[in-house]
Amino acid sequence: MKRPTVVRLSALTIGLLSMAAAQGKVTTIEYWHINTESFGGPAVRDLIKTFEAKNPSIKVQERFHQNAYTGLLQNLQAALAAGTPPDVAQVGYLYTNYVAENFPFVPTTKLAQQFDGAAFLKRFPANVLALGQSGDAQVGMPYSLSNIVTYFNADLLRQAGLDPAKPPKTWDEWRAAAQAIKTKTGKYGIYLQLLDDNWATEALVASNGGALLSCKGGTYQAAFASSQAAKALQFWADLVKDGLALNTLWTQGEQAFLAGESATFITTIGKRASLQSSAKFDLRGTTFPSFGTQKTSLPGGGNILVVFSKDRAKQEAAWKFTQFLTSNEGFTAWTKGTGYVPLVDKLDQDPRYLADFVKSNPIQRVGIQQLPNTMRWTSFPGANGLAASQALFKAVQRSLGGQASAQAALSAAAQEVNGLVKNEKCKP
Amino acid sequence: MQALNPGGRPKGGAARLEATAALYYGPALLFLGLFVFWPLVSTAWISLHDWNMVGANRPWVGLDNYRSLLGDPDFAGTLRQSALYIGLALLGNFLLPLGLALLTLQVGRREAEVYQSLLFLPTVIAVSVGTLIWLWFYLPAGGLFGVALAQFGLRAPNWLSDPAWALPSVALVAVWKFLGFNYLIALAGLRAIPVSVLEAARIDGAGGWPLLRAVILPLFAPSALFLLVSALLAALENVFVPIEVLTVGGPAGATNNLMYAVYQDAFKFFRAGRAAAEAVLLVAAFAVLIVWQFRLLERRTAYDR
Amino acid sequence: MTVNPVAVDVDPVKVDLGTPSSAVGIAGGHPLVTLRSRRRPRPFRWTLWAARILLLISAGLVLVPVVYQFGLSVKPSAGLFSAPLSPLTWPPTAEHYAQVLEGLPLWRYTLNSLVFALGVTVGQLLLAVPAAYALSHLRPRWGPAVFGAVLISLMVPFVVTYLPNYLLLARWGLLNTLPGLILPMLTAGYAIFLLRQHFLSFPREIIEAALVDGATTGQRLWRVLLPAHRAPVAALAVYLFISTWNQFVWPQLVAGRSESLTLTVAVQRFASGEGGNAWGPLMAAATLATLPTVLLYFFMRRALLDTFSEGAVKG
Repeated sequence: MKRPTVVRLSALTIGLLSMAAAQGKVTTIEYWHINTESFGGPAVRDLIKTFEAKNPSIKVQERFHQNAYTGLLQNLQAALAAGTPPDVAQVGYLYTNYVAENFPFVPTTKLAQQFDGAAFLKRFPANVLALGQSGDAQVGMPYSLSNIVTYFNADLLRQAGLDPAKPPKTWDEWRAAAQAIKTKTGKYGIYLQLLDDNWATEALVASNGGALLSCKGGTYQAAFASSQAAKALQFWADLVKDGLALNTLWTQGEQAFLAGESATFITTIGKRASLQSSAKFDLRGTTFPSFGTQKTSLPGGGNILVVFSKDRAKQEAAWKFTQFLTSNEGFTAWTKGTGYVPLVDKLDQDPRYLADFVKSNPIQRVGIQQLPNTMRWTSFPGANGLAASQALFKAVQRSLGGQASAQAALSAAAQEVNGLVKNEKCKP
Repeated sequence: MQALNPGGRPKGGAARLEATAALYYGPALLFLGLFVFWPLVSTAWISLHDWNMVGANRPWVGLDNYRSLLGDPDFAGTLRQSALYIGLALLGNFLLPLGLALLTLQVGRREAEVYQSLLFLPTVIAVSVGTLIWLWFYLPAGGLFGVALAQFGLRAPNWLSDPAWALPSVALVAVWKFLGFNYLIALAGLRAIPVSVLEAARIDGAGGWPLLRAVILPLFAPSALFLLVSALLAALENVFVPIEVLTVGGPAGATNNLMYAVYQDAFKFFRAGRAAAEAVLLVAAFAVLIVWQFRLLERRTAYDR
Repeated sequence: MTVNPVAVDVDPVKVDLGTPSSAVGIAGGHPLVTLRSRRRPRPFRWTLWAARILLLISAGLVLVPVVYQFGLSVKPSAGLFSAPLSPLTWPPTAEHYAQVLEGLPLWRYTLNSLVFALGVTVGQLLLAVPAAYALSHLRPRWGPAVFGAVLISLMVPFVVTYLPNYLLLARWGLLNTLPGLILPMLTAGYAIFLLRQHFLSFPREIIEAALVDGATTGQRLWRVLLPAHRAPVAALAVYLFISTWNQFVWPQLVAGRSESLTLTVAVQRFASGEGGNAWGPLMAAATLATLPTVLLYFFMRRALLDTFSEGAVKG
């Protein structure tokens, strides 16, 4: 069933010069992504080209959204309100619950049922599929998975008399290393990702045995005012206070790292390809630092692919496209082009796919090695969930800036968050 | 605006004049109505509801959104910072351009053109693009400003993460982007002052500061309105992108302002009702400010016509 | 306008008439006001030099970001941020430009931007010229109210109009179309405001003379007022073109399909996102996206500067 509007719209489209999208029995679907040119953009285009060659009856229009998942969600919201949603969209894990509660998505399980995909879904372990679930619904297909790793500048470590072959493992070791780096080179030893999505904050807190959110008496409650959480945050704030860690937002952190002004850049494995192409020093990677002997616990970042198509032909095309992106071939291109961890078991050991690549790329191995430590990224529930997330971010900034102790800032934020999520029911 | 020449009106009578005039301003008004005022009205309506912008559920809450805003200490901070932004905008986009324009009057015309061209250049660059480079200027380690200060043995602050520095740092970008344009407007106003008037004043013995105060500035008043509007626009629209790119409103809300709060609540937190209430307050505040300025300045010039 | 004689004693006339100006504008040779105290003329005019130095410093500071943007675009990606104090490197590299040009169909985007900017410019002029004329010379009863509305429209932030306009266009089926992109941008508040100020300064006697000659309302606009305001209208056009060209928020929302992107929107593909910025290519793309407007600016500089600086924003 092809809608005549497609013809009419493309006749009016600005770029009508060359697109022949509406001709023949072709189903056109729209794919929304957040991949910039330095971050998987070319991979997106290549994947679409391959897919279209294999499926001549489907045409995929890619549409980039700036400002990452927040930007995409803004436009998605507008498009849904207007009744013109995309067919496939990348939705950040942080927004999975929000989309599940508010947007008319087509559940992946329904697609699999309708278009013969049960066998396909079986390829994925249950804990992977769980990444795309909200409540009982499989909102989307987990696609990009990242965890937080420690990139470091081996040259700077060497200058400070440290052995880059044996990088520090715990926060205390890193603190000592940062002290040495500061004394010997005058540079910052540590940069930990700071963004309003609280992703790195959660990794820090959870790795010290804390949590952001808990379920008490059937409703959600802020859990980040615990002493474990406060100690973890205070550790970070002290690093900043002592001039050992750089306190800036993420983009500036990256600039400092690339300019050789910070010895580490603790951020997503998804940056791997981009950093490798732009760092001019000996770039290496290691695991996220642990607190003593505690096991690190790292929220999974990245996105799921959610289908919003209304008519059947498009749903089928969207499902085919989703299957392709999450196929062995799709994941291989995706991991190479970005750094995301492949979600199909053993793909990194399969010589037909990623084995050689991973062997030659030790940083990528770090991301894969940390998979067992991956936990679900906490999103605050309900209509005020995103505002609650902001309250926590403010607390982090206040303690990093030294305006309040970690404990005081977190306690105040917990009170605010509890007010915002107090009516959200949960199952313990 | 007293009409000194009623004869300037067409003979066909008042009704026809009104009809003709409406024909001329009507289309423009239609577009403004459709794409500015209608959204504004619907925003005012939304501000009386609790809504997430997509859900079908949209309960009426009356003035609750306004009440909760006015009782929110964070919002008080946002208001304070908005006032600060306006203050800085008036400084950077009103007084500074005016000062530069006065200086320009001192130099020859050819030379003035060089300054005009150079100062105007940032206006040509898209703000979304132009702001990015400032991220690196403000980098505390190895950024341009830090390195430059270090040459003089000074230690640069953490511009964007220090609550005291963040707001001026962000405002500076908006000033940079808009300075050249306002400078031209200021120069326009000054140059529009007839030479004969100035000569007369000089012959009467005015010079220096008295000339500036008693002759030049009063004659400049009409252009001042235009300049003020531009400066206020700069405070509003042009600081939005710098905030988003440089600080996302932080650290801990220190660079947030009303304009950015509307955006955050609407498109980041999906609290459309609250965002709409903020928007209404914003527009109301500016409308009052502008209309007041306008009346003040137009009255001044009314006698000239 | 009468000027009250100011009772301050000063040396006789120190008014420099400067070099004769170009033919555009009203003021002719502009006054070089020397705001000096009552000293005898000296060969070295310190006010001139002080002004010159201050202006040069300001111009220099304003240009710093521009120079760095260009500098980073031709700097090899190794060591992009390593020498902050030297914006330009030798030899320059074209690697970033090559990467930008091979990655994306920039010609298509340039064409899109061109059509978009021209459409908005022409549309706004068509709306603003008559409106400004009505508000400045026809003086209808509702004039002040209309003008008030124009002023207030300037103060409505885009976040207010963003979603409602999008929904309106969707209802009309205009998403991802040229009209959808252009129509909501035809809110000509600023253009009306600017032109009205210019038109107000036009000598009434001339309009009246035309009226005596039997010119209709329209003829007075098209034959008398407009020809006399070629420069301001041209300048406004350039200004509108440039600011439309640089629009970002609206085009990315309403025409975000990869083949309908405008240049400014396409540049963002090199910025932000979860991947951070690819600084070299980003600055190269930014420079390319800015190039057309800079060229236009330099070609039209005369008209633009003269208008905004001959202003005629006077009483």
